[in-house]
Amino acid sequence: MKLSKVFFNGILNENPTFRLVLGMCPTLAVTTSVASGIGMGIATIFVLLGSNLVTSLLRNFIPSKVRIPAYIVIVATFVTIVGMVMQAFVPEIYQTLGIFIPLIVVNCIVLARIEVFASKNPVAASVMDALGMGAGFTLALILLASIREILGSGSWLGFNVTGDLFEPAIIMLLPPGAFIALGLMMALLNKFTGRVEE
Amino acid sequence: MEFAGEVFLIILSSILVNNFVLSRFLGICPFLGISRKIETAVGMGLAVIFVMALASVITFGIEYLILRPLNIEYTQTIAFILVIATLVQFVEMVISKSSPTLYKALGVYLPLITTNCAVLGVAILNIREEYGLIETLFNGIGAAVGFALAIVLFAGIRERLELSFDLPRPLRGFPIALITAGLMSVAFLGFYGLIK
Amino acid sequence: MGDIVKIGLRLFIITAVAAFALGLTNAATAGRIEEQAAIARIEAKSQVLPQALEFQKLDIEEYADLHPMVLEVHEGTANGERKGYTFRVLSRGFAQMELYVGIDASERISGVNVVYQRETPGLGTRATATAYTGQFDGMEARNVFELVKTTPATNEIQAISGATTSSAAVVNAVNAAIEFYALLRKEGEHNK
Repeated sequence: MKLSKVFFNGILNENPTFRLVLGMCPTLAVTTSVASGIGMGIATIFVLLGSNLVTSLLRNFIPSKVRIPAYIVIVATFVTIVGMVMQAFVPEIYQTLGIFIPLIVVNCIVLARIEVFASKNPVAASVMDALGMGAGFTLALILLASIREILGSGSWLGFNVTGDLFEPAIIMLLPPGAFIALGLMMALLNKFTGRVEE
Repeated sequence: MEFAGEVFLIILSSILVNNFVLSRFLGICPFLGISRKIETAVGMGLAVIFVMALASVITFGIEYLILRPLNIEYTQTIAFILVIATLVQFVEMVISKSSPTLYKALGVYLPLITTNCAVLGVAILNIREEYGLIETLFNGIGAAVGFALAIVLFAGIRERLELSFDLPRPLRGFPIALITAGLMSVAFLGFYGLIK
Repeated sequence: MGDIVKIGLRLFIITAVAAFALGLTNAATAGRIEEQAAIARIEAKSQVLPQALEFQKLDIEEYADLHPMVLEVHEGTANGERKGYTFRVLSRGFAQMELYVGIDASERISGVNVVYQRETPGLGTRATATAYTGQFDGMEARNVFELVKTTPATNEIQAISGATTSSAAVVNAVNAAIEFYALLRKEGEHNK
């Protein structure tokens, strides 16, 4: 299959957030600011990359009966490594993302791609899938975080963008804002792409 | 006596004030995925309560009896998630033997408890908040009850929704689920003032 | 039987390699992580007691029962001259909060800085922001402060509406530092 097609699949057709509806927990939790969203996105891309790569390399070595524990070990290792590196080099982002860094290990996106794709496909394609899914996820995070940060704090990436236009609606930074914003975004996307569900 | 008060606060806090699903965003995937029928939601809720309670205690033991003494705290993520995966396998076996109907109803969602961020989340949180053993146990139970409460309520609402009016098509499925969750979350916000 | 051994062995190999990789990364990053933590700790103290260049930790174990909120006390000096004290205090709003409070040689609060908090974003976090914590600068560290909801009088601090719990957490921490400072003064651990 064409590598570029695999890549764009993760961004559009099978966008993990809007189409596959995976990885909801971090999506809702870390999108209070665009900076956090980007940080989480990049961390997840690294984990996806590492996990997909290794799983694909070992796809004939991992016995099917114990594949779930094997996948867990692989993903958890990469999550821990990414966590340690972040703690060492970007401690503020590490603090802000808090518990959601170790929680990348149960981010359904990672486990799903390993099971569905990397375990059955060659390395190059798996790497592309990881990059595509990661990019799609990050884009979704940035989109949602932009809405929440602009409406909720009047800023974007920390820079004040709304000035005195309106009083920021703090609810956007709170849980309800996250749920409703994401729900409305999905509805809008459904409407514009013509895809609907029962 | 003061200790009992503190434990009560922890339980109350994790069920209502800091509800794991509606405030902390932990456990969303199963929350959105499974909650269309009340019976399945209840079954799932009970399974999760059992897993989270046990997981809290076991991971507590692992952290303080193995990881810290050996100076390998960095293996926390791997160790915890493996414990949880094993626990879920065990629960799966028990349910398949004792109640095959429930087993079939829960379907793929049972092994998915492993990837339920609430389970791993509460285990890590217990350590970060530096709780003792009893507090850990009750925080685990409280968090799970909060999760169960959220999905059962949610299932109830969704059951009604599906029967009632004709939703505009773009909203059907996940969008309306998320918006409903948002409204529930607003309601739970009201509990913020409970704990002074 | 041989099958199980084969499966077990492969799983073991994967786990072993993973553990090895983790150990390696840990060895590579642990030093840096500790460095960052140490820098952060010194920075946290300098921020609340900018006059001091060096910080010396005091042994406060005997007071741990009386003042459980105060985790650490450091004496800040510059060129051998005492410039004041820094207090690392644990408080609780909706979640655990960690702050540094500085009290200088003129017995005034030289700074309040929240280093760790998990309050409600947009609401409780307003109480941990410098706009709120900055109001303590220069205030006398003689009597404890009281949290009020209306216009504050002397020795009163106004809570941020909608963030009473978080505001209280900050004030409680400052009070803990003030009380401990009074203790230090009484023990004559510094000469006036």
